Amino acid sequence: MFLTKRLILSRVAFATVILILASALHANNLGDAAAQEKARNYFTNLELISQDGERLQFYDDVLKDNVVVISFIFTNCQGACPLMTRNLTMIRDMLRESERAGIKFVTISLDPVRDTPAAMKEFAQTHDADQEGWLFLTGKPDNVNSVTKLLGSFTDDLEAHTTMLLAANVRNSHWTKIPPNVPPNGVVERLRLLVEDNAAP
Amino acid sequence: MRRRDLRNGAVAASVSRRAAAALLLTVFAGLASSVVTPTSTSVASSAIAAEPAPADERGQYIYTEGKSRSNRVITAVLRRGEAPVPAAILPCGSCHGTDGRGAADYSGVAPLNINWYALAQAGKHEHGARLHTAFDEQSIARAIIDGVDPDGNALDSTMPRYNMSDEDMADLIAYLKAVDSQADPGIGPTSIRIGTVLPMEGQLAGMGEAMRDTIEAYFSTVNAAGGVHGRRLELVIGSWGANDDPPIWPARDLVDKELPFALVSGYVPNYDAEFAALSAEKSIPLIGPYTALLPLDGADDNDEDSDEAGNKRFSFYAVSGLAEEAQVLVEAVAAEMVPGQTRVAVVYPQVQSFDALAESARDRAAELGFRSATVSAYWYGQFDSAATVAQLRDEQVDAVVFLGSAEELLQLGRAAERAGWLPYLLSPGLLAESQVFDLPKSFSGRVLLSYASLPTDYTPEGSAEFEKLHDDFSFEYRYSMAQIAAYTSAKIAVEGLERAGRSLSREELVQALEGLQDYHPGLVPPISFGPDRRIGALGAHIVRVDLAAGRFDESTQWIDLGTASDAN
Repeated sequence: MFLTKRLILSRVAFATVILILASALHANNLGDAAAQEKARNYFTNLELISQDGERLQFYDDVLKDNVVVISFIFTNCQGACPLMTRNLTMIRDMLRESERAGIKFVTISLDPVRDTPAAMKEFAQTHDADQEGWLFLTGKPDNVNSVTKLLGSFTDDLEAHTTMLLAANVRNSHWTKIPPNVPPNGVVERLRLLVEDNAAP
Repeated sequence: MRRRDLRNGAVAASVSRRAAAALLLTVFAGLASSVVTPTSTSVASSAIAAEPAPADERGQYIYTEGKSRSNRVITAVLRRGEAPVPAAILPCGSCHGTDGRGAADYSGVAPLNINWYALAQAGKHEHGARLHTAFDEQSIARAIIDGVDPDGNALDSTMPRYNMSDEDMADLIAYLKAVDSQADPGIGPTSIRIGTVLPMEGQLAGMGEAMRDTIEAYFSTVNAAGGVHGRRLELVIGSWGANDDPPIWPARDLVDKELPFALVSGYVPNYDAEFAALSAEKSIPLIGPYTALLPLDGADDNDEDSDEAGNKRFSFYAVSGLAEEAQVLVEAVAAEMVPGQTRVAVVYPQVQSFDALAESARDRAAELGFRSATVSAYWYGQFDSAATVAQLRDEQVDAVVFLGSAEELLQLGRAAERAGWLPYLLSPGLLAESQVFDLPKSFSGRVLLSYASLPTDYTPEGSAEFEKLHDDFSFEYRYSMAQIAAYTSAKIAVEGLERAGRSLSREELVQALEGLQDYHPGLVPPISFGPDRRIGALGAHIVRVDLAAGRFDESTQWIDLGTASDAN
C-alpha cells in the first residue's frame, strides 16, 4: 500500500516532485527522533510571527509532524499573490472537513520589512484566508529570509517571485513542489496523497 | 546636572554618551540585537476619529456635483434676471476647486478661497480692496443665496446665486467647514496628527521617553499659543523595543492605521533606508529622523517602486550623518595640506553601509585632487592595527580618515607611534571622542574630529527655549543629544507647517520645507533645504584635539558641503 502510494505520488508529479531535502530521503530509516533532529537542524527553529502575533519556532511549531502546503506572498503584491491566495482558499474549500484539519496552510512573507503581522492579518482577511489552520508568517527579516532561502523561494526581486507551492508530509519527509498551473482539484489530489501517506505503516 | 552641557561652551561636553551609544547601535548593526520579552509590536496612540460626518459627505456632493443626495432641487441663477438652471451646470467646486482654495484664474475671474478658516476671519477674505467682517453660517447662506457679503455688499456678478433647501444648505456648510481638510490624512479642522516612532519599551525605553517628552513639550507650547494656523498638534507614537521585532514595523503600522499627516523625528535603528522608503511609498513627509546613517543614496534599492520619480522627496534630515562627516574630514585634510602632495587613506570596518560611506569619502578626495586616495576595510571587531600601520606607512599615507571605533583609533595611533609614523588622524567625533585624549601626545595638533553639530551652534534664544521646555515640562535630560535632535526636528516641522499655511497638504509641506533657507532651529547649525537638498545643515564642524593640554581647541571650523557642485 505504502509503496503504491509512493509510486502514484511520483508518477502524478513526475517532473515537478522534487525532494528538496535530499538528506531526509532516508529519514524513515533513521529513528524518529534522529530524523526529526536532522530535519530541525535543516529547517531551523528560527522564530516567525503569525498574523495574530504568535511567536512560532519554524520547525517545531510550524512543520513538525504536519502535512503542510506552503505559499509565498508579499502584501503589496499587485500580481500573482492575490490570485494564488484565492486558489488556496478554493483548494481549502474543496477539501473535506476531516482532511482540512490534517493540513496546515502556511503562507510566508517575501517582504518581511514591509509585511508586519498586522499587514499579514489584513491581507489574510481581505482574501478570506484568516482561518483556523492557516498561518500567515512574517518575522525578523533575517529569520524570514533564511526560511524562504531554505525553502528555495527567496528572491531579491519581488515582482519575479515564485508562485510555486510547496507541499509536504513533514513526518515522512515527502516534499513536493506544485507549479502554479496545476488546477485546484489537482492540488487537492496531491494533498490527499500526502495526507494518506501519514496513515501508512 | 547634565543641563550644564547646554550652557557650557566646552566642546567636550557636546555628546551625551548615552544618546551617542544609542546612535552607534545604528552604526554597528552587530551591537543592535538587544531586547527581549515577547509581546507584540504595539502602536501607542491617542487616536482621533477622522470619519467625515454624513452631513459632510452630503455637502461634498452638493459642492462638487451641484445636486442633493435627497433629490431636492438645487438651482443657480447665473446672470441676474436670467431663469434659474440646475446647479449641476455650475457647482461650487467647478470654480472654487476641490480643495476650496479657488482657481488662480477662471475665465478672467479669480474665484476666492472659500476655506472656512478664511471665510470665518474678518479681513482675511478679500474682495479686491474691500475687506469685510467675518462670515458665519447665516451670512454664508445669504452669500450663496442672495449674493451679498456679511456687510451687505454684492458679490462679484460671476458668482451664481443658488437656491436650495435649508437642509442642503446645512450640509453644504458642513462640507465647507471641512473642505480644506479632505486632501491628505491626519489633518482635521482643528488638528494635525503627527507621528513618530520610538523605543518606548526595552533597553532604550528611557531614550524613547525622553525624545517623546521633548516633542510633546514643544508641541504643547505651540498648542498653547494657538497651534499652527488654528490647528493643534497631536502626537501619535509607533512603539518598539518590547521584543526584537523590526522597528520599521510599528512605523508601517502607525502610518497605515493612525494616518498621521507627517512623521517627525523618530528612531528606527538599522532601518533608516526602510524608514525613508516608507515615507516615499506613502508620500508622507519624514522630518528629521534621528540617525547617523542618512540613506540618501540607494534608499529604495529594494523597493519595487524605485522607478517612480521623486520618491525621495519626502524625507528631510536636519544634520549630516557619518557619510557627510567623512567627506568633511577629507575636506579638512585638503585644508591642512596641499592635496596634490598628500596621500589620504580611508580606513573603515565592514558593517552596514560603510562601504558606500568610505567610497563617498574617497570620491570626494579624488575630486579634491589628492596625490592618492585609497580605502582600506577590515572586518568589524578584527582590526589589526599593526598590519594596517605597516600597509599605510608603506603607501606613505599622510592622513588617515578613520571610521572605526574609539578603541580601534587608539590602537591605530599607538601602533603608528611605535612605528615612528605620525599621519594626521581624522575621525567623526561620534565614533572617536570617548578615547581620543588617550592617543599618544606626539599626535597633538594632528588629530581632527568632525561634528554634525556642537554647542557652539546654540543660539541664546534656542538655549533659553530649550531650557524653558525642560523647566516647564520637567522632562528627563539624560539623553541630551537625542533630545536636541528631537527638539530640532519638531521645530523644523512646525516651521514648515507654519509656512505651508492653513490650506495644508503634504505637498505644500514638502514645498515649504524646500523653501527653508538659513532657518535656525536654535541648537544646531542653520538649516537650508532645497529642491535637491535634503540635509538641512549639510556640512560639519572640525575640531582640533590638543593632546598636550588634554582639551579641544577653542576655535572650530565649519566646512560646508552645500556649496559643492554635487551637494547631496
